[in-house]
Amino acid sequence: MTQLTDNYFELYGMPVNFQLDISELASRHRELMSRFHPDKHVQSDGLNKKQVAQMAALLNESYTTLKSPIKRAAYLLSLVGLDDKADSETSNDGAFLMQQLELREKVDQASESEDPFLALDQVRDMAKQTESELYQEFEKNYVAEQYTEARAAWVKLKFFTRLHDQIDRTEQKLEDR
Amino acid sequence: MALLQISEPGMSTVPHQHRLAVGIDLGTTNSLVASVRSGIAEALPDVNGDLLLPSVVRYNEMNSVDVGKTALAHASSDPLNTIASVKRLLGRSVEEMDWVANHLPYEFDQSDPVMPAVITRQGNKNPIEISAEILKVLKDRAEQTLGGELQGAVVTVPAYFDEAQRQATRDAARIAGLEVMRLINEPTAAAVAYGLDQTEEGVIVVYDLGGGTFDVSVLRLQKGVFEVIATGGDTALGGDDFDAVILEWVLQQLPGLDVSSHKLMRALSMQVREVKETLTTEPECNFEVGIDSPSKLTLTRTVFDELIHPLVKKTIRTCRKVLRDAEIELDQVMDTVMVGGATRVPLVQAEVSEFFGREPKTDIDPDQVVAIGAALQANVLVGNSQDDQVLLLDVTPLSLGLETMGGLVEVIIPRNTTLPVARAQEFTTFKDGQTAMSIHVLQGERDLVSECRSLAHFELRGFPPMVAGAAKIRVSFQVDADGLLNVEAEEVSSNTRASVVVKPSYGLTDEQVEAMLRASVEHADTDMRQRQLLEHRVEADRVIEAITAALKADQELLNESETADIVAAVADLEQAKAGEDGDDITNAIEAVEQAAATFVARRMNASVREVMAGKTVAEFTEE
Repeated sequence: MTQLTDNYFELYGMPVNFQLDISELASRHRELMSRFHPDKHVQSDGLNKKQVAQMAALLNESYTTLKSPIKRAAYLLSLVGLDDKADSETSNDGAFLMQQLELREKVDQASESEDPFLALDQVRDMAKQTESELYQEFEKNYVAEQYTEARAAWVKLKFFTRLHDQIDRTEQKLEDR
Repeated sequence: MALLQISEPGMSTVPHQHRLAVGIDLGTTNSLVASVRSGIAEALPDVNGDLLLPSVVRYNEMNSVDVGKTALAHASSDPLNTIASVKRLLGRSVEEMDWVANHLPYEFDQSDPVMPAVITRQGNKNPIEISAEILKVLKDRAEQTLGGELQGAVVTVPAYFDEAQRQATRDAARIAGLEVMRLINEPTAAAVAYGLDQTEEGVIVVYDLGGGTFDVSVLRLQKGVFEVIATGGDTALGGDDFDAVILEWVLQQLPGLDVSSHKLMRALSMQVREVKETLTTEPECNFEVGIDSPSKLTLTRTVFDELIHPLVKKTIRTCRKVLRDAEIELDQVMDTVMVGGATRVPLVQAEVSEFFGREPKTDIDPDQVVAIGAALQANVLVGNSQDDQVLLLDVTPLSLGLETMGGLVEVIIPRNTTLPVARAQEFTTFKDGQTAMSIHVLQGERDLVSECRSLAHFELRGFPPMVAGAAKIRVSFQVDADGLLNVEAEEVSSNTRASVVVKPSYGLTDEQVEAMLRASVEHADTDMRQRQLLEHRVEADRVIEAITAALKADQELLNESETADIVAAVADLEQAKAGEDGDDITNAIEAVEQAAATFVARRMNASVREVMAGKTVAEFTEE
């Protein structure tokens, strides 16, 4: 199939940047979707339907990518030709790894604490601080075109994605108990 | 919140332009049809003034079919030929029917493992055919009330319905002769019925406890856009289970009852439903059980509440899980909307109020709200509404993935992804010289293949032998706005493009649907081929018309040879249309589509730019 506009930021007419006005993005997405959603083309012919469905899928994909900070960062890396997969990659920052280990332990210990839900929320708060610092680091380096450094910050942020998964799973288990 | 008025009363469309469209709620216990008339969406009554059609189908002695109240009246006297709660069977295979085997008094023919059938005096009837009988009655009711042929319908399904169940619902509607414009999720429909004040903005939660299914959806409402953020539920939990719990209690109280008697069990199953309904308003219910020497029993609301408490708690756990999926905190929820007859049960209302910390909304009759929302959406889709604002953005309820090494599932499209969606993933071969690959499509949240629902198996064959790891097999998943899935696979690196479109294995083939359609219309000798040919010609006309108009408007987007290609393909289509072969026409349509694909994409990009025009970067950064 023919490529539609291929840069997610350009699709929405937004600057290629980590800093992004999410509410503006949401409003532009709504506007485009109300033109390209298949529901707006129920009465049209097969060709249009196919292309519209493709466009709507592309818009959904772009929107999902841009509105999530971690996915947006990965996408920005892919735009400059860097690997945006970090499935088995580790960081070589020892202090950072120690902190991750401590946070993981806190999640494990939370289940035994008096108010496990509160304990888990506390881990979330602790994580939030470092995460926002890492996003700033990512942005600063990306703007300065220091992409390797930007990517290192992103690899660390991926640790937090996994930490949040662990917190959510633990919480789910506690609730089902 | 007021009910949506799709157009101001004074502005209703001129009668001869109004196209007839309906919303249908095909429920486990009751079904309804609704339509927008003079700007107001309302459920349509039958000749007796009844809105609810009991979802009960009876194959009677006269070789005809009763649906609704008449059928229900025979449920005890003719249990094997009277099918209730067929929705619980829809899209289910034999092995998934444990619940049914224990709770429903029918005899099944399980010789077809994919689609079990109920054995009736009129032969074997599968759940799709049985559901189609209910839909036919609703279609007739609507056409009589509205005075014309229906142009289209929106049929609702539980948000948590999987692929098989959605496909089965669509097939049932086709057999009933309905033009399904869209399947929409029941909670989303309910939100539409409630939420279109246009000024209301915020997050709402729809709690939908029907006869046989439980759904909860979290939606964000903004400027007429209904964005489903997350959805979850249980396709085998509903008001019927409350009945079953009472039934078990009765059997415990009276161990001497003859449980092998279909007649007694049928009578009992209706009786316990009445007990449940009585306990909605009364603190206790006295009733007699047994046919020859009845025994007296009393069930208090307190005991009833204790009996159903675990089930209600289960729904609250689901609410919590869905909120987490949506990344929404309890205090961000603006409103809770109650849908489904089982939400009338006082304990349900109490638990939901307690969890969300507010009284849920029940302004619209919980039995009608889904059909009303579907009717509003049908009115928009058929083109009656000038209201451009309304837009439903729904999500996939369950994750979709592929089997990988070691019996594990790799997720391609996670649950709660906005529709429509297209995603692809590349795989490779693990043996030297491998020329085929088996692809297994699954749906579910578990890591193991054996714990997910198998949707389809197919093989990609005939790519050239290469060393292990060299082949690039690209598997693409597409889920359309109805939530229906297509999977294609191709080997990219060798430039051999083999692709397979999966038709889910549980669904009916087009031939089967046609055969059922033929059986269901009076004139069984209607020439299907002739009808198909006519349909292909109509489609050809639509394509020619659309492409001609587009060329007229935007020819500057093409160079001379591109234009010539399209014109030539259109000319071929004109010629095919004049012929007698439907396949020729289909092929010619495809050729036009291919020739025009670039053109259409360019037009679409131009259109995106047009929408975004005037929104400069400067304007944005100043904000």
